[in-house]
Amino acid sequence: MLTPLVYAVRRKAVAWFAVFFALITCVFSLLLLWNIQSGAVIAYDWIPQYGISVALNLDALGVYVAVVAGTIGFLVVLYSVKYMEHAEHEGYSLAKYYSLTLLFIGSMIGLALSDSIILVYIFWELVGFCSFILIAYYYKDQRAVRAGTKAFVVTRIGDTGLFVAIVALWGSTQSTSIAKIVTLAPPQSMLLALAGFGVLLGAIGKSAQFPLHVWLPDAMEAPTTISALIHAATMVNAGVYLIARTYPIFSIISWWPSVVLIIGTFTAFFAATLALAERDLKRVLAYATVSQLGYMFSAAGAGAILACEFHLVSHALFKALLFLGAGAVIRSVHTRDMYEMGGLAKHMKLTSATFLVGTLAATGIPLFNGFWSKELVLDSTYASGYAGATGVLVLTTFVTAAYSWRMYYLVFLGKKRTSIWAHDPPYEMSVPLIILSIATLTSWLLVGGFSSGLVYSLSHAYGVELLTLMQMIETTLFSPLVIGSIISLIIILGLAFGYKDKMLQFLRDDRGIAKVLKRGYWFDDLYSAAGRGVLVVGRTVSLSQTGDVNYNFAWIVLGGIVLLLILLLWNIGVIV
Amino acid sequence: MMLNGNAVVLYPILVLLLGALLSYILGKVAKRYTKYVSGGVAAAASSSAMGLFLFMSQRAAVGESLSVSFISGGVQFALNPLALFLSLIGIFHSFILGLYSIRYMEHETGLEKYFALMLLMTAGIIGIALAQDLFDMYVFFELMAVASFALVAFQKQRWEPIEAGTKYAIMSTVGSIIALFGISTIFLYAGTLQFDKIGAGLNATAPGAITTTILMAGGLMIIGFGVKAAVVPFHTWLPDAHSAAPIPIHAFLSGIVIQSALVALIKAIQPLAALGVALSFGLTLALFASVSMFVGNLIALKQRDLKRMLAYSSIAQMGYILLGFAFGMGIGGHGVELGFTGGLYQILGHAYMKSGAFLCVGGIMYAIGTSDLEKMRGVGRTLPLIGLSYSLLALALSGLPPTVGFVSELLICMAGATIRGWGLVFVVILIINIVLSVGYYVPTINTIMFSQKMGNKVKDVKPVPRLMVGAILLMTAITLVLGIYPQLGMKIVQPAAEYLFHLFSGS
Repeated sequence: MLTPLVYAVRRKAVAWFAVFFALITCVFSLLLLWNIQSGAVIAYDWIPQYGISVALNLDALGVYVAVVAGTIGFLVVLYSVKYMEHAEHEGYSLAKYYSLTLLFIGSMIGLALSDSIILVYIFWELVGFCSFILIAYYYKDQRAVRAGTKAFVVTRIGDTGLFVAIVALWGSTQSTSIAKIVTLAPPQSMLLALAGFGVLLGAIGKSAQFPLHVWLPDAMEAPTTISALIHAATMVNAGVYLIARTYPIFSIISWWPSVVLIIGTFTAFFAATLALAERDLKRVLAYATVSQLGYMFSAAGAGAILACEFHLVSHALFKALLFLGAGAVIRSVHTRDMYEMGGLAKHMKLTSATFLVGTLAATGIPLFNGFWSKELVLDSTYASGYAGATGVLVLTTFVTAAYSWRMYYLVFLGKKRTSIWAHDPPYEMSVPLIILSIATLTSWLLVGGFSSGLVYSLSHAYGVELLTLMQMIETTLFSPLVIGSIISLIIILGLAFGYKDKMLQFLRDDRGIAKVLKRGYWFDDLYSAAGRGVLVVGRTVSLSQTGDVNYNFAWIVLGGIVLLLILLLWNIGVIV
Repeated sequence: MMLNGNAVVLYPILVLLLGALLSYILGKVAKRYTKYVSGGVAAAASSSAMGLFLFMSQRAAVGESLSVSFISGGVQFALNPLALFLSLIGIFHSFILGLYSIRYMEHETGLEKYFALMLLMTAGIIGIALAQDLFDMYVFFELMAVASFALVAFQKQRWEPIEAGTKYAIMSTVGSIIALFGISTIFLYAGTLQFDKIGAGLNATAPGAITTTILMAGGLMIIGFGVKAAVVPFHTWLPDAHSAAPIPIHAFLSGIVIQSALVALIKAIQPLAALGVALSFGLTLALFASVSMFVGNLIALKQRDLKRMLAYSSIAQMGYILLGFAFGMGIGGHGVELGFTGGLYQILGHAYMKSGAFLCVGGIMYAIGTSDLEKMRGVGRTLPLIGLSYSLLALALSGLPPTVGFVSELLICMAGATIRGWGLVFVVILIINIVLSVGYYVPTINTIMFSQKMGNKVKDVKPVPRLMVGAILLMTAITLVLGIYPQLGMKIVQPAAEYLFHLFSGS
């Protein structure tokens, strides 16, 4: 977190220096696990004249997110040592890269641990800012700059929602402490509804949910390490985290939980279909991330904070693994186009094995963490009576399976379509891959401790119940829903494998649905049209700026008359 | 002439007037070293005036009355928290911008006039702050205005400044006349122009006729001072005049001069508001503030010249400040102190954000000689310190935490949320505008920092003097510090807001 220090160190040392700091951060964040407490811990009067203070909160909800940020942050920085080596030769500053990455990790931890919604907002913007600069890191590539700007502007639209929420919550409770607002439990009102809407908008923007999902696929212009850290494992979770954190405040608004659930479910399905036809490896992963975040939204909307948070952690692990694996592939074959890869399993044994672990987890195959957490999500939505949504989510798991295996097949299996000699990465890169694979295989075993931490530190308003490992296994294995879906999954996968060539060809062609998918359902076109619309309005308004003194006086006279009229009408009581 | 009270109040104005005179005479005598002598005198005068204010604020803290009157109470000056607030910002600006000008303006002739005029303008601001009656405030308002006409048209060898300066002078004068009309109406009915006696005077002389006439008088003063404060639709002179002025003057005008006009406006209508018409003024001002925000931001979106873009954004930012004040006065209900706090904090923050951004533009113009965005592509990579500062300041202007822009916008919005009702409507309008403003600040950062192709003038950059870079870094640092540690700014903002709030709520 002491980023400026990094500037002092130059050249090669900078990378290892960053690794060192990331390690310290990681250790500290892990230590937090033993310090989970309930209630705000550290408060500081920010603007005492108006009772605005900022505070940190060490409850499990935040600490888990912080730990994810700390550990994955460390692994990514370690991985970067070799992965980013080339950047220096191409004239990009490594000091900028590492200091921003460390700033990002620090801010993300800060975001997770903040109790004051103002502090959340400050860190929220800081992570957004880091993301913007890091996406535009390869600034010599115009696409990267455009993607960075797009990400920044789109998420800023969402952030405005969070800003609205701060203001509205202040208006209704005169407080900015989330914990305090939860205990106050403000009654339903216009202001609260506005705040609920604001939080939702903010979360949608940051977590790239429909309809603000457009920035995340483009954000893949960032270095792959950054995609793994920011756009898969941590920052995009901030929205989900915020929804979970504020759930008790807004759950009394009748429409709020169901809207969260509907957005989540819809996005999960919608993004999964988009991933089907993508040819860019990283963009597939980006759409997959959007889809998985949709699952978390659904869980949060169903009021299952535990399922939501558990899936968040699982997803962070396996998606970081997938991205870092993709990074190893891209570094080796120098392209992101999957149609130019293929047959890499023979040459990159370690990478393909770890990638396989990630893919298995993403598809929700039993024994991998993705399976357990996804089943928890499905269970919770079903249990809260949203059968339709559960149906869509189950359907989505099939689509997920389809695009994941398409991706794995195109990259690692089949015929080799590149002439470049592919090879496994050096140990600085493979160590994080191995660690993440092990974590992906085992993290679900910790569910007992995970849930007890939440139960211990969160107020009852969150409605989290203890769930031990055995309970989880029991409920999951004996749920007819789960068994049914696994069986049908296997059947469909079998069918799909039989017809794989035809289907792959269909998705490759620019015809019918595949074409629609490749255009991303025209959302980008819609937004740029809206942007142009604003510019046209601007141009029209600027016609009033003639620079001609006569017109200027006309404006003054006109404005003056209007002003006097308003005051006059007011006085005789026309306007109340 | 009888002086009653503590004459120390007048010293800062006298010091600045004397400084203006000395700066002109010594600068004229010094010939080759004009820029150092005049600039040095200006800096010395500003810093001693600053010292005087700090001294007075200490005396005021121990309870000493700091007011002075002569002509048997007809002319009165007093130091109150609001006056301290405005004066400190004004003087600090004249100090920093004076130092910056020494190098920026080095190739111009007639610098002795330049620095003298700058000190006169500062004296005008302080006069507005300290004056306790409408007429004296008007006199100092004109001093500030006349000095600024001359400064806008300072680079008289080009046509653009002359045209802009003339236009500015004509329009500003019309505004002044309208304001004077309002002031004389007040005098007709109240028999006095002292802020603290107008209310009683109006009540005593014409109890029945108060409302309509008074509202009209107030309306005329809003128009009059509003022209100078660039409230839409009285703003049309601003983009021309500001962008024709030399950069330090542009920074001065956008940073504090138009804000002083706004403070003058508030001071002028305050005695009327205490009669119970505060609420109607509040809503009216909020409406005009909303129009200002939209017009400023929308037109800024399509500007290709960085100077002009920032000038339009000043109009929008004035809207934010005015909206804060409107919340303070109350919109269809009682006001909240938080509104004044937000508005004043925005004045404080804007003074550093916007001036800092202008100084960056000045640095870029010094180095490559243009403010056209197309031609300065990628300049941030050849002038990293300026580029980085500009990026930070632009983000601050768009309200990104942890900078001062965020704090003030947050405070204004919180005030609106506390009022509820109409307040919420205006908060939503403000927030839409904040989003709009991101749409032009961020692309300029891209152009300056990340642009792939270099502008054709970027290849041969002139090194920017350290004095100028230092001023830019100072502004940037203040922007950050006030955002992270707002209590520092609150020390002068909060008492001023409290003072205003008490005046307006009549307690």
